[in-house]
Amino acid sequence: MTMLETQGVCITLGGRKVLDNVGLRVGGGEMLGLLGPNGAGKTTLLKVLAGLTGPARVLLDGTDAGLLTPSQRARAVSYLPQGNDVHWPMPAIDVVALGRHPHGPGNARDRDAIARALAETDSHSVAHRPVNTLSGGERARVLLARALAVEAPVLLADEPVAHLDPGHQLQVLALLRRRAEAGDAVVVVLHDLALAARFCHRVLVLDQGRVVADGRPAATLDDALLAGVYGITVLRGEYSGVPYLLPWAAGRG
Amino acid sequence: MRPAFLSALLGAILSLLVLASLHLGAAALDSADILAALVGQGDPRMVTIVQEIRLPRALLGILVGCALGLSGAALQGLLRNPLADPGIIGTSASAGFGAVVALYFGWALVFPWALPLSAMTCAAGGTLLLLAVAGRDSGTLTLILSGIAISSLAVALTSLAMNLSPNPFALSEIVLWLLGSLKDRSLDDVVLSAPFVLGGGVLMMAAGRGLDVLTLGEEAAASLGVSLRRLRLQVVIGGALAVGAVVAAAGSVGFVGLVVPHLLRPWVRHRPSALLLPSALGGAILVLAADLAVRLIPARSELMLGVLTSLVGAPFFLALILKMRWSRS
Repeated sequence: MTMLETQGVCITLGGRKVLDNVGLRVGGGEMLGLLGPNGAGKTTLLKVLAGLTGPARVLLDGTDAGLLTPSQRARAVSYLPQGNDVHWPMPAIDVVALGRHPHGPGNARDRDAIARALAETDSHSVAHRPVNTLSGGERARVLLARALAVEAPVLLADEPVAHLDPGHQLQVLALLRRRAEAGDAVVVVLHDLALAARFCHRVLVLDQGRVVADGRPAATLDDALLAGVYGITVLRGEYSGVPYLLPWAAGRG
Repeated sequence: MRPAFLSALLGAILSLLVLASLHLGAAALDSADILAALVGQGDPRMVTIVQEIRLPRALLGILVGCALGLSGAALQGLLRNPLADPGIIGTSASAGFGAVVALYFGWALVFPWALPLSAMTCAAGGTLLLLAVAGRDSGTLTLILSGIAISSLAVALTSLAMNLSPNPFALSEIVLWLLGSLKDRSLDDVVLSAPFVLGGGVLMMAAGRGLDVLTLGEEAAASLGVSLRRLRLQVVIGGALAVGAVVAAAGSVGFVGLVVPHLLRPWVRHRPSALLLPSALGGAILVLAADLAVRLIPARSELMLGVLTSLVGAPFFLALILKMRWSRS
C-alpha cells in the first residue's frame, strides 16, 4: 500500500502565507477529502503533493519523492488539475492516451489502460469525438479518464466534479472511492460537504492556510467547525444508516 | 489520415516540385539533360545551369520551407496558439536584424559563418524576449501584440543600420536581400545553412511528445513528467537555429510557418507531434511552389519570393483571425 506524506509545509505566494505548517498523510486504501473555503490553500497543497510547488519534502513510501526522476514520480502520482483546458481539438481517446506519457512510447499495456479509463468514466460513447465538441461534463470525465489512464497508485484530483451534473458527480466519486478501496491513495479537493461526508473515508479541513481539522467526516464536520470555517449552518439526517448533512444557511445563527 | 501516409504523400508532391524546379527556367532542359548534368556529364553549359543555379535554388527552397514549416508547427505547439509563426512573433525579423548586423560590420566577409551565427543568435534572443514579455500561456492578443513589438524593434534596428549605411550599393543589396529570394544562391549557401536547419530540426522533432502532453496545460504536463524548461529550450533554440540559418541564406520569407501547419493540422487529428514532419514537408512544397510561381509570373523584374508569400499569407492570416472571432461569437 502506497503512503504519501508531507510535514511542516510553508508556502508564501505574493507576500501572503498560503500554507502555514501544514502536514498530511494518506495511505493506500484511503480516500481523503481536502475541504475549506476559497483561498484556504487546498489547491496549493495538492500541487505540493504533486511536486509542482515547493519548497516541500514529500515522502512516497518513505522515500523522498524529490529524488525520483520526473517519469518515476509521474508513474507514482497522477494529478488532475482544476479546469477543463485542452488546447487543441484532439479526439477524446487521444487526450486519454496522453496519460500514458510517463510509461514511455508504445507501451504494450497502453491500449488496455486507455480502454479501462474510458469505461470507468463512462466516456466510451465520446471517445472519438473532438474534445471541443463535448459538453463541460463530458470533457471533465474525459480528463478524469486521462488521469486514471496513468494507473498510478496515488491519485490527486482538484475539484473533479465541479462541472458535472448530480448523476455524474455521484458516479465519479463512487469511482474514486472504488479506486481507494482497491488500494490506491486518493486525495480529492471538494467544495460539496454532502458529497465529502458521503464518499470520503477522511477529511482534512484547511482555513487560511492552516489545518483546522482532520478525521472521519461524521466526527469532524461538526456544527462549530462549519460555522467557524464556512460561516454556515447545516441540516443533518440519516438515510439507510448513513449520516448526511446539507448546507442550509449562511451565517452562524 | 495516418501521419506516415500524409508524409509520404507530401514527400511525393515535393519530389515532383523539385523536378519541376530543375526543369523550369530560361533555358529549356529535358529530363535526360538534367540527369546528365547532375552527375557532371554532357554540355558544360547545362552542367553549370543545373549544378550552380537550379539545384542550389531547389535545395535551398527545401531547406527554407522545412525550417519555416517545422518552426511554425513547433512554436504553435509550444505556445498552444495557432497564430504563432516565426514571422508574426518576431523571430524572422530578429534573425534579419542579426544578418544585417553581420553584413553591416563586414563580419560576413571576414568569416562566412558570422552571417548565420549572428542571425541565429538574434532569432533566439527575439523568441526568448517574446516568451518573457508575453508569458507562456498567453492569449492570442498578447502574443500578437508582443510579436509586433519585437518585430517592430528588430525592423527599427535594421532600418537604423541601413540609415547609417555609408555605402548606397550595400544598402540596396541589403534591402533586396531582406525581401527574401532563392535567386542567385550557390551550393555554399546550402552547405552553410543545412547543418543548422538539420540540428534545429532534430531538436524540434525531439520535442514532439512533450508538445502533445502540453495540450493539457503546463501543470498537467509537468505532473506527467515533462520538463517544461527543457521543452521550451528545445523549441526556442531549435527554431532559432533553423530560422536564423535560412533567413541568413534567403532573407525574410513570411507566413509559411503560419499557413502550412494550419492547413495540415486537421489531417493529423490536431496532434502536435504528428504535425511536425508534415509541416516541414508542406513548408518545402509551399516555398518551392512559390519559387516556381515567381519564375513563371511575367513581370519586368522577377518577383521576390518573400513578397509573394506575404501577398498570399497576409490575407490568410486575416481570414484566420476572422474565423477565430466568429467561432467565439
